[in-house]
Amino acid sequence: MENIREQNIFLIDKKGKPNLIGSKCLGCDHMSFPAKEVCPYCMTNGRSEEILIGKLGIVVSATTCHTAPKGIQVPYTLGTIEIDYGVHVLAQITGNTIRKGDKVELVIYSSVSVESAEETIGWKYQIVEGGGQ
Amino acid sequence: MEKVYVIGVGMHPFGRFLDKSLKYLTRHAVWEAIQDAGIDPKKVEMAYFSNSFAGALNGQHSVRGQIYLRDAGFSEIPIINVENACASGSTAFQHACLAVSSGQVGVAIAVGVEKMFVGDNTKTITALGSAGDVEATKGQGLQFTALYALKALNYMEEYGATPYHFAKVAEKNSENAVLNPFAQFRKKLSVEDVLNSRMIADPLTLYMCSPIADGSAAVIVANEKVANQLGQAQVHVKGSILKSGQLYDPNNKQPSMITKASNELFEKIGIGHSDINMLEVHDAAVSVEFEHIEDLGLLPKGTAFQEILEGTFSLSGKLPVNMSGGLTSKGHPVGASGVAQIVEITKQLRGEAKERQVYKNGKLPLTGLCLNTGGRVEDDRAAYGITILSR
Ligand SMILES: [Zn+2]
Repeated sequence: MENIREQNIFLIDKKGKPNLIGSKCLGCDHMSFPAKEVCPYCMTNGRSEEILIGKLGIVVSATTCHTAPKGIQVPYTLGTIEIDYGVHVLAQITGNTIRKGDKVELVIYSSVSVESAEETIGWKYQIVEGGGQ
Repeated sequence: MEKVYVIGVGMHPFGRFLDKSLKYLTRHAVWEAIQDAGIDPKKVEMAYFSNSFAGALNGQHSVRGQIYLRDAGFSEIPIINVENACASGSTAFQHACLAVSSGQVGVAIAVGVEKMFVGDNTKTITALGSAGDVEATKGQGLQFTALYALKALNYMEEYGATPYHFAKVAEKNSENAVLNPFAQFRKKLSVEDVLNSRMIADPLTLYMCSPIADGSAAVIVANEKVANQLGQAQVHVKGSILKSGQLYDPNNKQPSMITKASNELFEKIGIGHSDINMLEVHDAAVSVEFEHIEDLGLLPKGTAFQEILEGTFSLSGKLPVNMSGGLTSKGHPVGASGVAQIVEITKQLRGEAKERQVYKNGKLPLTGLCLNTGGRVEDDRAAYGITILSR
């Protein structure tokens, strides 16, 4: 199975596992997500390496939303997830109960727009079975 | 550097105006400012036009300022279109000031206009979500109310504030808006009304969040020579600062960008925190009033939520905040909000705020501050604008 890569944000690796695409600066070791050619911490250009991150994470904070942009069903939960190297990402979180400190895993989903019949492949985090507090 | 003065202000009320076009809203605010200044409009040499969503919502993706200001009579002069999400207004204002202070022009205008009621509120919420990294947040359901909710949860956890304290801010802002003919909601809300309104993003209820709005505001600035020719005592632009969001600190040790920027500004213009008599801050959700007041260094961290109970931020309090009603009650037509903050502080400094006029020891206030923020990049806001005006 080929790597499936979306807009340099996430990819599904050969084992079929989803990852976020981050980068590590070889000048100062800072991690960035989304991945960058130029490190915004030390402004070293062209000396970064791509690192696959974010398979698992911890919920830092989460809020349940009752209004939504197009294509999102309410209610849904949006939160900050801490992933590898202390990187924070904003993401939708799914699960029955979602609390700070819960373990989450990256999942890829596909949804088809009712209006345009266009398929979107996206990513979000899901509470790990039995990983709650 | 030339000194810069606010010589004219104008506004169209904020609210829901389905029958009023962007051209109409622009013309109204601009000509109110021209009349207020008592200046020949041909003397205006440069215009900064602040708008965020006329592309996404109204189909005018390009040359907005040139199109809408033509309807207000302007041609030939340079018109610069400014887009910095909710901080577009302060950005436009600062650049109008810069054009004057640099000596390039004698008179410049900053205009902020937005039309967000387009018959489909989901379309508007979706457009607002594009004030973040659309690649990195695609499909996540990014909406700014949720980001404010996450901040509110952090503040509650860190300092022990509760939704009651946030509701007190909404109550205070609604009281101020009752006295502001330009405000979208002119109805006094009780704490119970606020807490019982429907949940938008936990812990923020409907009345804790700024509404979708149509509206416009304009400010004309000029150098000392022009200001003196016009006669009346003019409001002085003491200084302003514009910043972008900072990098995420995994150790969470750095001061916020509001703290960094305001310290830099205070130092540059040589005034102290105690010189600030009043504030207009960016309460896209009421919960950030506490963060803004504290990060500006006006109160110690974690104390503003107790001060709201003492009436400190009311019109007659020690440090009035959002005399206009703020974004939550006055309304938040994105590109106009930052300009409207300048309009309110100007009116207060001139003593023209009528029933919502602030007094310091029986006298008119001397100095006011505006804080305007916008958008999101990674873990911070995208843009910050702070302006200090005095008389
Ligand atoms: Zn680096």
